Amino acid sequence: MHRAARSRRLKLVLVAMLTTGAMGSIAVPRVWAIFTAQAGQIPASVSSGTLAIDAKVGAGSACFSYNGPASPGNVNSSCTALYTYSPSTELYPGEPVTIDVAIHNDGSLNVGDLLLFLPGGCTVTATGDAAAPAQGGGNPCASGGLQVSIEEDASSGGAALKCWYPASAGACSLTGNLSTLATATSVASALDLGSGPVSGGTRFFRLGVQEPSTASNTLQGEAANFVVAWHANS
Amino acid sequence: MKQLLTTMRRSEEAETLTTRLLVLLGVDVAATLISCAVAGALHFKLFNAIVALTAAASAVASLPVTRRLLSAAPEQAEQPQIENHSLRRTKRILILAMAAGAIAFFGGRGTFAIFTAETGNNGSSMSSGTLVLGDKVGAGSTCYSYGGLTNDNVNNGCTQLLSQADMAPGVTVAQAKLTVENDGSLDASTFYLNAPWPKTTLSTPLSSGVAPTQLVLASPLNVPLVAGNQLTISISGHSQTYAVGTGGAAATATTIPLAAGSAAANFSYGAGSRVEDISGDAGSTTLDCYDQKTQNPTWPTSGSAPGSVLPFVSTSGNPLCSAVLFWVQEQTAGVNYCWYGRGAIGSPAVATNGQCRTPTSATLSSTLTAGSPISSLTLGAALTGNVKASDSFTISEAGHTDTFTASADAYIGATSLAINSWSPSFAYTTAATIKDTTAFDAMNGDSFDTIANFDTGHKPTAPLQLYPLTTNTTVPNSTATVSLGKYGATGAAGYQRTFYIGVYLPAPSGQAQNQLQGLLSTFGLTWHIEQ
Repeated sequence: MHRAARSRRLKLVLVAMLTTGAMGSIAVPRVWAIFTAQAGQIPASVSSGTLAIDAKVGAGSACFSYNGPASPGNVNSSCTALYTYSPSTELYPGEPVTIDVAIHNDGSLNVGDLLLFLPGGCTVTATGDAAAPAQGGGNPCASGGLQVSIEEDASSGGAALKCWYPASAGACSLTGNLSTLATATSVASALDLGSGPVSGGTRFFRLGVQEPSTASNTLQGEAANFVVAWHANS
Repeated sequence: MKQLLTTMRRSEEAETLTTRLLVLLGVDVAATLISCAVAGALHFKLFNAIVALTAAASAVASLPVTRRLLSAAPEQAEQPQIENHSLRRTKRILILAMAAGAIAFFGGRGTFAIFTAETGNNGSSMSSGTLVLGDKVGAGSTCYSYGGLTNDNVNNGCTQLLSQADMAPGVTVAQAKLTVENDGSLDASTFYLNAPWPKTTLSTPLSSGVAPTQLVLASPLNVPLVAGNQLTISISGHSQTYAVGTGGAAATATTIPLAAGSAAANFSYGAGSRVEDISGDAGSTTLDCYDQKTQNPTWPTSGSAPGSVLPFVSTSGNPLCSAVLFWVQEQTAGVNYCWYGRGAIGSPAVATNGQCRTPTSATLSSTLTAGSPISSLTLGAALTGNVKASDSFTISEAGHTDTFTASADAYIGATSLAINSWSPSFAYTTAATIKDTTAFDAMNGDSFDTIANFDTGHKPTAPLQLYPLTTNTTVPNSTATVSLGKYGATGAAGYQRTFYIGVYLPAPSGQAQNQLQGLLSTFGLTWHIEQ
């Protein structure tokens, strides 16, 4: 009995020694470090900037890019229409209409590239004007249809800086074809308006539209419908 | 001695042959020892020990049991009277021998020494060494490990490494130079870099011996906690781990419930004690790196739109931490090695030239001559990134763009680029932008070497061990016994090592990154040495 008890004790001692030895050989070296020193920085911080623009038509209110639906995000397709026809605003050949649009950079990043395109291109519909019930059957979106221009000004309605469409220096001549511009239906085919505005800055554009002075009667009672999208890249 | 010899003679007839031989052997040994001692051939202590041992052996030999073993039984039975006398005499002799041995061992020190000499070395002193880690951001001042508030040679308050605002995809690169040094008197055998656990400090002290039911933090841990998560509290070399209680806690919580039956505090953990979530760094939602939306309290009256007003931005899953690329490039004594980032072991593109991939840009030091072939470009400033041989470059200015390729590797700090012969089509000036398009393209296609993956891959339980460097083209020496030499040490195990730590927000081709707008990522790094 005594011998058995001693044997058990001996076994326990041996197992404990075995365990200690095993721990010594496989444990993480740090366990045995006597002196250690450690330094860590105050946490580093990196932040991404923001890129947001708003478009203001005339004296209207600003329409912010980020106020659109969550997906895809930062795309707002519900901004004020540039121009809406009505019996009192219908176009007559040779009589241009201009619309001033201010593009403001609300983000912290500069706009590296401002683009303009017409998603969906241009579609024609009847005006439905009761005073002119007969449609001419022509297509203002097609070649020979509406003429457009995109001019950049120093301020809203101010001095012309550059004509982006049709490209020329100074003021626009309003000789660009809507049909051509309407082929820019995506970012990939967009009209490049150069860099800017910088963060907090504004660029001023004047869009011109007219029915050619030589327009035929086929363009009577026809409406051109298109969306103008302003796209900013960082 | 005479008595001993007389006794031996009288005993010869009664003792067995074995006993006589043993007694003779004892006499022989004693005589030899005395001779040696007189001749000075034995150290005195050794002599004493041997004499004592001999005496002890004689005593053992005198025991009846031993004697029975050594004597032949039949002979004893035939001569009992003679044996009794002999036995008594032998006992006396052996007791005498034992007494002589004892006197020799305990008191005979000066008896046998003829000449003596002694010296003493007084006032010996011993001091412990020091192990102190210091780091310095750029040309700033050194921050020391002992300067921490937790009084345990851990300092988490060193100068901020990076503070980069308004990162734009594909554009912004930020990099800091960090010098880490051993300012102690002991060599550091190991040197580690890791992401810390999500951490904060204690606001309400814990009393020693009292079991807490909750932890009140000075600031949130910024990771969501679930029941069972482990929180370690430490200060001044003491630490204790508690489990989070039922219900867990939100990432923004500053009061953390503890599991029922939590142990009493083993120390008085005061305000400022370090609190670490050692269950953290396990996935994108529990990283040391955490995202917040940027704020602009003056918006919209002034300033720019912050992330807080952008409805399409979410901090869930720390998206910016998971997108920003991160690298740790060492450049010590002219030798380079990429410890983390694109190019490091474990990344999708392991480099064999010691380089981390970096989005490298440069400028010229002077105007080039159009039409004249050149094979080297002198740079306007030292390179802040690496260049790999065969990388393609663009140089652009005022609507002009040319391309050329590098003919050799170049490392951070280089002031010129070796290129394959190229004739500029334009007289590019110091305003021209030189861009390593190969590097940018590689980085823009990388979604692996991120801060988030550093946190999960190199948390405190899986640190990067920073072995000393050897050459640009070989892996560091994992068998070296010193990784950061004591203060002042030079050479391969010098006391200083230099790192470039950088970040870049990639611009994956064809992908809008709007979900990353207006986010602020906060993350830490920990440098650790051991004796």
